[in-house]
Amino acid sequence: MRLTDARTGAQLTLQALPVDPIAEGQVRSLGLAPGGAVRLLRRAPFHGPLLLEVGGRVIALGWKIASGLEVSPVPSPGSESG
Amino acid sequence: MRIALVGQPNCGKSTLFNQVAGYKAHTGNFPGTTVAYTESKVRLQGEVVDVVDLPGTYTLAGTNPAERVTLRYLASTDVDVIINVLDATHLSQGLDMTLELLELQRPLILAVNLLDEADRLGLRIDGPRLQRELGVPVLPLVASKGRGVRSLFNAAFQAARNPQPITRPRYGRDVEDALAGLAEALRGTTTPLHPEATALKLLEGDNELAAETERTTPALRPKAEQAQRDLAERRGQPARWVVWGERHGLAGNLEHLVVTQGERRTSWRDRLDDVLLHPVAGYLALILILLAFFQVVYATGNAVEPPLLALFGTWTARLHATLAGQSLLDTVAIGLLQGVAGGAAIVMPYLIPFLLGLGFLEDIGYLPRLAFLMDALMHRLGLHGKSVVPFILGYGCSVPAVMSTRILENRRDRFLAAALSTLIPCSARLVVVFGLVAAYVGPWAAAAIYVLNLFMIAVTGRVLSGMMHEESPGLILEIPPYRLPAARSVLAKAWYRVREFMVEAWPAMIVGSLVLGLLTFFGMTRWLDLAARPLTWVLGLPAATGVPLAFGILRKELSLVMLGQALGTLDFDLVLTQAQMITFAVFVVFYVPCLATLVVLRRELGWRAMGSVAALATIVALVVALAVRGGLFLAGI
Repeated sequence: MRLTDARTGAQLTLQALPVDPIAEGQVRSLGLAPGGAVRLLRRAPFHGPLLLEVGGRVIALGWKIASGLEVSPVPSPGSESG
Repeated sequence: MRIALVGQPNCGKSTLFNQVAGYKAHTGNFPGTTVAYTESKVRLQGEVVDVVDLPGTYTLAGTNPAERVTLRYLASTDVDVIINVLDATHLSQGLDMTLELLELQRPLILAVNLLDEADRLGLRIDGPRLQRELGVPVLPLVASKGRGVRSLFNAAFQAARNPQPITRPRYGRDVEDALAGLAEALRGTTTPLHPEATALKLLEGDNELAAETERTTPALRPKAEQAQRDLAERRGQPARWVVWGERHGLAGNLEHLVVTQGERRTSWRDRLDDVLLHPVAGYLALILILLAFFQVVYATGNAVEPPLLALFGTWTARLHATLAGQSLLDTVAIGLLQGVAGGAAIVMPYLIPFLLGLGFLEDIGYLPRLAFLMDALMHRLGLHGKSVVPFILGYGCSVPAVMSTRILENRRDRFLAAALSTLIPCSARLVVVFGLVAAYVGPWAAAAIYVLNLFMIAVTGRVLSGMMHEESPGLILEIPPYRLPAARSVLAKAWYRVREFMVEAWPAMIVGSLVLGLLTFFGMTRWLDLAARPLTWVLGLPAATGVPLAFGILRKELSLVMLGQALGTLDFDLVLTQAQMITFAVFVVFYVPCLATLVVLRRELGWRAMGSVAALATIVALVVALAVRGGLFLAGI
């Protein structure tokens, strides 16, 4: 599913980077990589940006870029804590 | 000997650099880019060595100029040892690039920084284990307190003197096979990087490197492209994603091996975003924060401005008296003094508190959050959240506003943000709105001008972005944790921007003031009034307003004073109707930014952009002022 369709608070795995090469480069230059773990922290109203936690850092991604990211939910949310 | 510092943004690399930087630190740009690096000479074990602070990046993928120049710099034989600074609180992100650095097979030292912060978060890092796993020295560091700096540089010195063999990370079998094939084709040729690193970068699709190797080994590029296709077919995703994904996975595994998460102590910082980024409370907080900010700035400016103006008034009178009889010299001297006074007494009292406040908001970490909150709204203007910064700066002075568009990624966004931010009434234009409209018509009319201004900026933004084919790349921004600002850093930032104003804009103000004085002296203002008559006539203003309008370009903050001079009184009620006051103020708010802003626009974005912004501002000013005049007429004002 697309990152923009994910539930707020969900722990996700990044499946695919954006198809657009410029957007791909931008996402990559923030250290995001396929297979990486991402948590959707919050979203701004009116198709505003999404706030993600990636490797302990917090990143804001505009709606358009975020909608180009494919993610899959991590099945057991409990395993992430500790 | 040369030591290069490499690491992700905000990992403390520059703090480390500043701990050791000696007397000869200087900042430069990489040739052909605007990516900056800083270099300094340091005395180490009796030898003078060069230490270079490379730009912060997360990868060496070459997706942006900073990554590209970092990779190139490290590849050059000038670097004897690389110090890779890692942020202990985000180790896996940093390790991702560490693995890339290992692939270069050059002497490498790891410095695990921010250990104090990691401790606060309950993270424990097994340095010796990391050293065993990677086969390179790993040293602890708290750069901000200077802890571990000396031993780090001594270790770096040793590593450069006695280079040890480096083992690069191993990838999946198919990736390794592809690499072996490409490295074989590179055998015997000179490659920009280590042959295996070159092969890996080719597999990752580094186009610049591909073009470079093509010159020496023409057969390589088709071979690399074939290898990419094969790998992509086998894995069902682009070859570069395979490499990035595997490297990221390896970094994650390393983190699992060396980091243990203890109990995390939560603090106010963790709770603050629940309010400040809340879909409703966040916007209320934003309004309150900005209102408080502007209130403080204007209160300070209002308190400081009158005594300074009075002081300059006394000096002007004294100068007049001294130079009595030498009228041309008097004109020149007074013109120069008034130019100095304009900067010191009218701009600085607002600019300095404004920049201090901005530096505070920046250092505490609020500006990126502001960009997050404003992103959706800025999209309506064809921009994204980060461009809210030039807009806010614009209320202080257009000069730093235009300069701050450097934070935006592409030229289209920079032009659009610069053009729109110059339409924002700066503190000099505020003088006209308040001194004329608020004072003689009423505060509600002044407020209405500000609302109208925001509305027109929105309309102009939509029209302009509609005319541009390119689209904004969108917001992509790291949100740093909240930090208590250090006074030194806030002061340093404010001083840096004040200095930019002093160097870039103030001289233009002084020259403008001198030109104005000379034109008056030689009686040329009449001709200007005549030349501007079509404009003043169409706006329904007295002919004498031509000079203040024309010279508003030179010195916007003096528009009101000049209006008084031109009309022969500072009691504007006697010479202007309320409609004329409002029309005049509206026109001044929108039209051509001052000379200082134009100078900066040209320097930042070129002649064409400067001309376009000036033309745009004039058109918008004319349209809005005419509409306002018509509206006021219909309303019977």
